[in-house]
Amino acid sequence: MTLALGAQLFSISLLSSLLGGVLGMASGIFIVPLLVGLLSLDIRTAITASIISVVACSCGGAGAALRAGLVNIRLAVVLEVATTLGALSGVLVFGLVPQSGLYGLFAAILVLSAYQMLQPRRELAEHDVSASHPWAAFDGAYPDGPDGRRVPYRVERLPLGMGLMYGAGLVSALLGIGSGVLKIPAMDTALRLPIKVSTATSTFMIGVTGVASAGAYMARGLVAPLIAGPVVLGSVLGAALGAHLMLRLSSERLRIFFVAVLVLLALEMFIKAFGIDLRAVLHG
Amino acid sequence: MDSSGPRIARSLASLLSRGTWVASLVIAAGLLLGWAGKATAGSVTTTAGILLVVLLPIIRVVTVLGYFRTAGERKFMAWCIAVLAIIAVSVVAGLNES
Repeated sequence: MTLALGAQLFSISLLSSLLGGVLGMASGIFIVPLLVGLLSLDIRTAITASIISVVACSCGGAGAALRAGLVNIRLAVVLEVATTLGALSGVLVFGLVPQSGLYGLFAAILVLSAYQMLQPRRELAEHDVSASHPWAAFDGAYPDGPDGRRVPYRVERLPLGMGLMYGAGLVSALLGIGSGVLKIPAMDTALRLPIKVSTATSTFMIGVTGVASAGAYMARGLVAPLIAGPVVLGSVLGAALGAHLMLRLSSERLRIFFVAVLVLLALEMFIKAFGIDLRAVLHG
Repeated sequence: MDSSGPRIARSLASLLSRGTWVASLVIAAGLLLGWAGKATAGSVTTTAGILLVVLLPIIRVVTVLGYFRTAGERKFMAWCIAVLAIIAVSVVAGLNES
């Protein structure tokens, strides 16, 4: 691999991860379409490199969430059974899904992400944590506000949450992304977790979910180290910078810009799904 | 209430943060070796760094398993073992198709 290609892979991943970090999103959703669109990388090579970077960014990002006391470790371990099962299913069908199918699925996930970005996440009303319920073993409390007051919360509808998490794991393995687009509804709406806990626990879980597919793709020889290496480095650095920038920038202003970016990337993937060579069309 | 205490959270935070930076440094060293003309050494080192990235979450699950074992929480130990078993099956499935 040339130094120039390495620098391009690193820069694209850094930028993608920076974008993702500012919005609190995993970077895979930007990395894969950009690698395919800008560097004409094979989509499977891009996906397998991306999933390694997703694991690395999850590990890097989970540290801060854990220190802040926001991760529900018990709940994460149980949900990981569902996400890793989903990832295992994804690994088994990865080679069977045609490239056009991967492009189409990616486009759909990008559109869903854009839609989700336009819908602000709302904190659900506080629950009666004293009432008994079947999932009490997973209930917790998280620090909130300047005084770090611990706010108790309860976990609801665990089976529904696990079902959605299975889907998130499947999509993560197929597309090399963190699948936040499916995890957010699972954790916010099904499990009714507070947003801070939901985001932190999701970041914590992505690494284990990703490993279920990354390990298989490595064993299958599908991960190109000299492609994945610069992608991981760019992503880890970008995520760290993005997390710092997130605190300084108004993400509301950037939101509309990112929605436009997601829609453009979705268009790119839709066009590829239908096998249209845009360059050939433009050059007559 | 979630009693997965702050000690285990701090241990995991340290493991994941430090592990990510170590793995990144190994990958960077591998890429530099490759660009310096030592292709084989570079490729092996980069692959080792990527393996470290993949191993981190597995070590994390094993650490959580150890925590639940010490706390005598068998149900949660079983969930951890299930996660490790699924990852193992996935890797074996990958090996069989390679």
